[in-house]
Amino acid sequence: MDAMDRLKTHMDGRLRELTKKRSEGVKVVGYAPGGYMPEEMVYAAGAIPVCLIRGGDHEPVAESGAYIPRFIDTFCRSQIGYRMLEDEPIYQLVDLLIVPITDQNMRAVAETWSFYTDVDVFRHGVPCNKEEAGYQYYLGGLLRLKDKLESFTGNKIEDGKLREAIELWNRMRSLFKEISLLRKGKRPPISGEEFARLSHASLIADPPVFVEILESLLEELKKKEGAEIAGPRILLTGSTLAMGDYKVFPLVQGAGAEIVIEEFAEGIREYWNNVEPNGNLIEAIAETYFKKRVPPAWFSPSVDRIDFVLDLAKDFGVEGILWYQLLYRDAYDMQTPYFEKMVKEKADLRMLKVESDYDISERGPMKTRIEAFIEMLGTR
Amino acid sequence: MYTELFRLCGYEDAEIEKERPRIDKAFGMLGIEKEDIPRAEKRVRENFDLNLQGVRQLLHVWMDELIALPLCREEYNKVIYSDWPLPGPLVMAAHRMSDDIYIGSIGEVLNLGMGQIFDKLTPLLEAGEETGLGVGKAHCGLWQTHIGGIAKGMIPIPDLMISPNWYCDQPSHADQLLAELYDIPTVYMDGVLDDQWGQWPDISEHLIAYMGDQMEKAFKKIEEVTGYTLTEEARQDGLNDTWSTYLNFNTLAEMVSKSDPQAISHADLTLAFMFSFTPLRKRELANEALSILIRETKERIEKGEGVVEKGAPRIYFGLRFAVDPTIHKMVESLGLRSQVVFIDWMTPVETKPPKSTKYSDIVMEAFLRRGVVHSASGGIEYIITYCREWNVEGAILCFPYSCRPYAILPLMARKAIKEELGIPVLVLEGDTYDTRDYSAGQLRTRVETFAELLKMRKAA
Repeated sequence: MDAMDRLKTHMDGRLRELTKKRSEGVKVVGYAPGGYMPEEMVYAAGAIPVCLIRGGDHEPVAESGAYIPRFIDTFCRSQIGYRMLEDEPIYQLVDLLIVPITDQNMRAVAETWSFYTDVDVFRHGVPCNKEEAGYQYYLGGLLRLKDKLESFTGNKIEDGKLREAIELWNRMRSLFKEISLLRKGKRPPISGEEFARLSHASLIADPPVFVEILESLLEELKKKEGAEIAGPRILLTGSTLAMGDYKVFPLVQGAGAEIVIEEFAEGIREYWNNVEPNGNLIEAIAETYFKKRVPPAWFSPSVDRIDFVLDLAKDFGVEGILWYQLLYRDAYDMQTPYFEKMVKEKADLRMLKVESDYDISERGPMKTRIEAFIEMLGTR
Repeated sequence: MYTELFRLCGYEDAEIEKERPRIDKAFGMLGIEKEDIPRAEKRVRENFDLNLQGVRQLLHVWMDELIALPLCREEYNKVIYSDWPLPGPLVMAAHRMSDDIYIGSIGEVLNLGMGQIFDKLTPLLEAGEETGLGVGKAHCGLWQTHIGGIAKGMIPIPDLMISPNWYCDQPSHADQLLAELYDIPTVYMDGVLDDQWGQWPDISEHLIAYMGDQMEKAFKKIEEVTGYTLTEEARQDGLNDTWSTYLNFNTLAEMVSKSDPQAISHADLTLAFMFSFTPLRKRELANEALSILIRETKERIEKGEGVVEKGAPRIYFGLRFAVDPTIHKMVESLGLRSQVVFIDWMTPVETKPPKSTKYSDIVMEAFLRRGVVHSASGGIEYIITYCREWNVEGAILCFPYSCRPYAILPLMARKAIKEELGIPVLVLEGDTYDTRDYSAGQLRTRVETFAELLKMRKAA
């Protein structure tokens, strides 16, 4: 595919581009994934938003042990390890790190970066409920973030620039949505793994270039007919799907099934809702990023998430749910007992929970369990 | 079968006879059997200083609470549960609304009763593990016990759960699990620890206001479920209950900190530590116990008696063990004087008048003034203040491995203390709520080596 080739070329040169821009005085603003940090605001401040989304490697997890006890979520420990190992260049380029505090695991990332590095870290809280007070708190956090970005970059976030950025990101979200919906059919033109990789690329790529590539990709995919899915259609859900952590995709495919849709708290770009580019723009951002966003498992209550997943499963003709969580992400682990019960009762769907600490030794047992699960689905 | 045990716990014979039907019923529900009694007697005799009347009375208060918990449904009209880290004044105020309402910190009561006294917590922890807080996932033992008690049918299903979510994540996830499995009405009290690095002790007003608002939300829900109005008087009584007990504990802890030799064991002090966070049916008895213990401690200090050799190395010890008295005893047996423990002492930041004026904001501001609760930078500063002000010779940063907010801190704090104060620091992975993997025996080797190091430094 031409668009994918262009994307590869762009991503190959992205590090050089970021380094060059930074040397010219443009600030690189790193942020933690999860869909609560509006990239539009960073972009409108004249800085470059770059998501810290690498994962799947064991070495950074092991490295983090020198800085924080091991009982923190694997992905969050990795974010400490990548920075401290100094061999992941993008992590060394960050001038300011923004961490939306969603839970204690994410707070651990902010605290360790503050203590062990000289990077300026800005925290803004994400209340774990959608009541009015929670919304107002999140909105207040965005206003403090705006002040921080303006003082850090020296650039005012003017409405005109912010509106332009919102429109750019709205286009990106709309394109992602259209591409994702193409997977409803029997012959999805894009695989689950390709979609995940595309989503990850969007968190690092230059936004205007990326949107242009997505436009082309959509046109190409509309004309393309993928192979017919012979086995069960799978919904992949969980806490974090990091860039580089693609091990479940070949395991599912190898067992004769295909992941046709995914729902993650972190790692897959939120694309279901756009921001209204009129009126008070910060409020409009808060409305979409907080109120409309599907609540992750760390929300209380978070049963809306289950309904959302069930709707996705129905829309995408899903036959089984693969729950992929990372070790010590307690909110997800504690949601599984009633999640599994509810999806069975409400939609007669079966679920398999697998867990990872980014360790190569997991792959064998994981393969066996996924194969057994897919086989079980095939006999229903 | 249990008369002697209750005597050890400060009960008079007439009281035991009067309470016998309740005790029999409660023990039946809690699964306490004949063979559990000798073990409890042995544990109480070996780990608590029963020569002190105040200690016996502390045990009495917890035994009362343990009996009241399984019977709460039949003895009260409305039942409300919560647990740490719920701030004391909220539950105390609700407790003061009416004698018709049972409000209890169930995990804490089970920890103190089934853990400290009966050493029979494992079935509860296992029930919590089987219900959703699985083995090997570093889930909090307190919340495993909280869930386990309900899942095992030891304690009744409540009318309301108040889920405190402002410091850690586990309460709301655990209570949400219970709410979905048992259809229990639940109010979630949210919190967001997003103040910036180095900001403590300056706590953001928006943070205090949000958390105060969440507390008011819980009050409203309690009123709605119970049908009672939370008067200003009940609020004030709740605050006074918390404060009076805390001040008594604080006085006692400070006396022990200043005593050399260390006058009483921290195993005994731990029995009093939880009073200010837990609604008690007999608050007066608890305060009386503390007053007696203060008097008895003073007498010991005057006589020069203690539980650790005079002149022993002074340390900061970063944890209190809610379920197991043997770990503090082990540290003391190795000749270390835990001069200041966990969050016992009030730093100068905490004794200043609050900047908030609203009841719930004042409560939350007090909570966040404890640096370890506020942030890692606040926690580091807080622990350094403890070590500096008490001029300790070493620090044991024992942290509960399954407590994510607390576990963020120790490695950073070790580096900071070493750099700023130049004293040895031991980071000790442990657990305050579940000692199956972190028993006194298991931890002893590392503490022993550290104790030797401190003694050598002192001798040099």
